[in-house]
Order: sequence, then C-alpha cells, then structure tokens
Amino acid sequence: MKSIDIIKKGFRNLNRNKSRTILTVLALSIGAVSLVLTLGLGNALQDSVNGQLDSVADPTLSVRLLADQEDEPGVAIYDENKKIVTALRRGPESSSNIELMNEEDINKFAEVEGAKLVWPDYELSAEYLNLVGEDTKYVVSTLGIRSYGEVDAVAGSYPDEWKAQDVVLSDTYLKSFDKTADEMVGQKITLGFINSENEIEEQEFSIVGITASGDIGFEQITPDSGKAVISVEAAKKIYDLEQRESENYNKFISASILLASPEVEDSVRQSVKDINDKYELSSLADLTEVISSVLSTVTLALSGFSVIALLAAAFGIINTQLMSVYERTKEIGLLKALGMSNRNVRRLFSYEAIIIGVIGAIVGSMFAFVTQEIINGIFKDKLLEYGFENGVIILTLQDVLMVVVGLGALSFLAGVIPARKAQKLDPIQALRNE
Amino acid sequence: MIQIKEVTRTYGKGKTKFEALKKVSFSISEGEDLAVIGKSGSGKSTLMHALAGLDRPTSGSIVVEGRDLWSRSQKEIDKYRSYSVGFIFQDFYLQKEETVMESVAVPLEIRGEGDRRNKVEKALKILEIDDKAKNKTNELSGGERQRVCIARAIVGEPKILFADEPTGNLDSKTGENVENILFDINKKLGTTLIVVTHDHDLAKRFSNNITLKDGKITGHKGSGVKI
Repeated sequence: MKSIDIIKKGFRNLNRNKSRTILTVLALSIGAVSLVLTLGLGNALQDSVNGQLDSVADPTLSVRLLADQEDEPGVAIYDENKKIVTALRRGPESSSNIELMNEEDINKFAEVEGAKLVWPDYELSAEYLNLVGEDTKYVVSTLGIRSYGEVDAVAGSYPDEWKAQDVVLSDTYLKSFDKTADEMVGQKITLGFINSENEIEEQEFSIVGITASGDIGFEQITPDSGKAVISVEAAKKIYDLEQRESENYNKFISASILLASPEVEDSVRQSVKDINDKYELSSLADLTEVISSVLSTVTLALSGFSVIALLAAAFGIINTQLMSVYERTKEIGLLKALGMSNRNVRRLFSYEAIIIGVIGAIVGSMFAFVTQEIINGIFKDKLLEYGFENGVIILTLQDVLMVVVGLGALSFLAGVIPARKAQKLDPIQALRNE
Repeated sequence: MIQIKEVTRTYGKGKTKFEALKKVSFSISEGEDLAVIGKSGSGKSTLMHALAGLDRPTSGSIVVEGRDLWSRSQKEIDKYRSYSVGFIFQDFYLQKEETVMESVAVPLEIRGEGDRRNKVEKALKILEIDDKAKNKTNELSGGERQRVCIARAIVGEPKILFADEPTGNLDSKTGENVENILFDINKKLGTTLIVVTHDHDLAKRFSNNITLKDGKITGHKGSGVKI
C-alpha cells in the first residue's frame, strides 16, 4: 500500500470522528501555544539583551595576568618580588590573585596578528576642568579612555580617529557652563591634575563631542557627576605625568587589545595564551555568552511546563487512538482479510497519531502567532520603553518547525501502543466480533 | 487445482480444546463452483478461512497455485489474499461514510495500484450499480450493499472468490439475484467460486458440493471435487 493512500485513509478516519479529533487536537494545541510562546519570549529577551549590548559593543579584549596558584591551601604567602595584587573577584571561576604587568609585557601583545592596538589600562584621575578663559572649575568624576565601540553623541561627534587634544564630555557639564551642547563643541578646556611632584599641572583639550548622561550601556552618569573621555595617547601622557615618580609606575592590573575585527577574537585569544598561559582574557562576548546561557536556561525551564501540558495531551492521543481501534475492530479485520499487511495497519494508526500531533502543533503555532501580533501591537510603546524593540514575543520559523517535528514525534510515540494493538488484531476474531 | 491435505484446526488448549477441522482432505479444480454445506459449528467457515489465507491450520497442507500456502512468508500470504482471493461476507463490512466508489476501491488501494478508477467502474458495471457510484453506502438497500461487496471482491480480478453465506442477510428474491450474479462471474470470468452455506436450496444450484459435519467431510457431489 502506498504511503500517500495510508495518509489519505488516516485523514478520512480522523474526519469520520470529527469532534473527537478536534478535541484531541485542541488539547495538544494548548501545550503547543504555551511552548511556542515561551520560546518566542526567550527569543525576545535574547534580542533585547543583544540590542542593549550592541550599544556598548566594544571590539576590545581585556587581559590580566593570573598569579601562580599556590600549592598550599589557604591564603597565598606575600612575596615582595611577585607584585601580586588582589583584584575584585569577578566570578567563581576567576582567580582573585593577579600579577601586575609592565609596559614591555603589554607591548608584546601588539605583535599578535589581529591586534590593531594595544594599551595598558591607565588609571587616571583629574582634579578639575574649566573652560579656557573662565575661572570656575568643575569636578571631573571620571576621566576615562575613549571607547572603540559605537557611542552616540548628542552634539559634535564621537570620533573614530582621535587627536591627542580631543575630549568628549558628558552633557552634565552643559548646565554648569550654561551653554547648549552645540555651543560647547569646539570650545577649549583645561584639565587639571596632580603630577608626581604633588603639584597641579594643566593640559589643554578641545571639545569634539557631548554624550548623553543617564544609562550608557552599563555605566550610569548621574546628573551631578561629570565624565571626560580622552584618547589613548593623551591618557598615556597624563599617566606619565601623574605616576612617573610613583612606586606603582609601569605596573598595570590589566591591558586592552583592540581587535582588527570581531572575527579574529578567537585567534587573538589563542595567540595571547601562547605567550603565557597565565593570561586571562575577557571581552563583551564572554558576558553575552553568560547572559545567553542564563536566558536559555530560563527559557528551557519555562518550556518544561509546556512540555508537561503536552505530555498530558499525549495521553489524550493514546486514549483517542485506543478508542478508535476498538471502534474499528471490524474495519481492521476486513482490511486484513483483503490483504492489508499488519505492518501497514500499524502504519495507518501511527500516521493518524502523527497527523493529530502535527495539526495540533500547527494550530497552536497559529494561535501563538496571533497572540504575538496582538501583544506586540497593543503594548508597542511600552515595550520600546523597556528595550524590547522587536516586541516581547518573537516567533521564529525554526522554533515553529521544531515544535511541529517534536509534537509529531511525541504523537508517534503516543500512538505506538494503539497501533500495535491494531497490528496484532486477528482478522478472524475481529470480523466475528459482535 | 486447490489441494487440501489432512487439514486439522484446533482451537484452545487442554480442557477447552476444540477441533474445528479433523484431517479434512479434498481437491477442487480451477474454475469450478463449490458449495461447502454444514450447520453452524461444522467447521465450514474455518475451512474457508484456512483456504483464504486468513486462519493458519494446526496441521496439514493447502496447495494453491502449485505451492503450499501456509509455508509461505506472511508477506506472500498477504499478497495471496490481496491478489488471488476475493471475499464476500454475510455482514457487508462497509464503512457507512464511504461512497460506493471508495468502498470498492479498497482492495486496489491495499495493492498499491495507482489508477483505480477504470477497474472500479468496470466492477460496478458488472454488478449494475454504476449509477450509485457516488452514493454513500448507508444510503443503499441490502441487495445493493451486497452487490457493492461483490464488486469489492471482484474488482481485483481474483482467481478464487470466497463467499460466506452471501445471501444470509437478504430476502429470497434479492438473494436469488445475488446468486445469479455469483454464477455469472464464475462462468464469464472463470473465477473459482467457493461458497459456504447452510442453505440446501442454494447448495443445490452448485455443480460441486461437500458436506461438513463436526469437522469431517460426510458427503460430496460433482466431478470437480475429489476426496
């Protein structure tokens, strides 16, 4: 018997007991709706997180040098020569003891293929800044090195190529200077800091851009704090002036490597590890990975509840199909008497179960699609506010196909017992059965 | 030639053991018509089921088409039922939601034949119910239903046609009609016709008959059958 004829026969049989088929399909589709929606919610969360991470995406790797593990348990012995510092514990896996690097160590990274630029993470601080020609000096809460990611400027620009005298200020200085953002761009400022002789020293910069305060990626700039951002070159100069005579000069906790492109990240990581296995590298991709895996776990856990609903529905299929076998005992007997093989009888019932499952999945996916359109449509503005640019449910064809195939397989399994029962029916007994 | 040699069929075990057929042997030539007469419980249906490849005998052999039937593989037995045998049941076993066309096409569907329409129409014409092809089977009278069953049995042009009390559920006039159709098919298509019945009037119309009682042959008639 041809498969297509068996499938057609299956459809005819299901059609014969329409109400029962519809109820079984509905039971399945409820589970399917919740499963598809859960997956859609997972996608939306991932999408939202990716969207927000993109805004701080920074193609740089951060490098630290881990200290040798002590063989002795407990706290490490202090060794003057080893220059070990205890850094903030960043996670259960990262070792808390790190060794300091010097500029010569760091410059070796520059030779790694794929490393576009390398610099030590200078620790900078500034005392004040003021507009050239004005007396009032303002506090600089943070003096930082430019980001190599995409940063939006509210006025001027956040340049790709920075000159040594370029500076970008947070818009919190606007009120202080009593100027609009556009008026600020092009103005000269003086940055004051304390040099190694403990004297105030000044450097002149020129404002090229103003960035918005509030949430910028993971950083938060409160209305009463001011941030100034300068180029790597300028940072090195200020660092030298500040630290030259200090004991900590040329000792760095971490360094940054700017990647030529995001694709070379893996090879650069490997090359740095090849220099010294103790180097620990981290990047935004790590963070993205951690968040993704957390989200996947949450999605998976939520899907578990839907799967329970689907399991319950699977028993509905078993029940439906068993009843069907009892009702159709004579028909099965006749088909066998007419030469239908046991195998094909089993296939007939298996296909019917699969058809129920697949229809249930499709109906469920359609309900889920409608739900997606309604919820994303009605709460569009609210969702945008919370960072769900593409909605709080994002169904993908891949997920839907997965659910359809999965439910087909589940239904097939649920249909095994009834199908075997039909397969084993003795045609003589079946036909005699009153 | 269909040869039945010492066929025994036992049901159950121990105390409930029951021998439906006791070393039954006979042969019938191809193209003949044969009535198997017997009361209920005589073993006549069991014999027919054994001949038709539906019920495996406990011992003995049945040679059809030159080969032992029950030593064939299950696949070959299925094929035998599908290609060589036609069945007519006392109860019609029609699906009430199916049309006449669909019901008659079932054996061809089982064979996996693609073009079924022509053969079905031909069978319906032979049974003179081609005008009811689109009707649902539950819209038909008893005689019409039995004709649909006969059409279903002959649509695949089997070599042997089995009928189990084919007129049992029909009034005498309709019954006679169905009888005529069966003999017609036997003569025109050369199909071996084997009918199981307890109706002696029906049996009289056959060229050959055997009588079964308690699983044994107690009498036979006709030149086509040899004990």
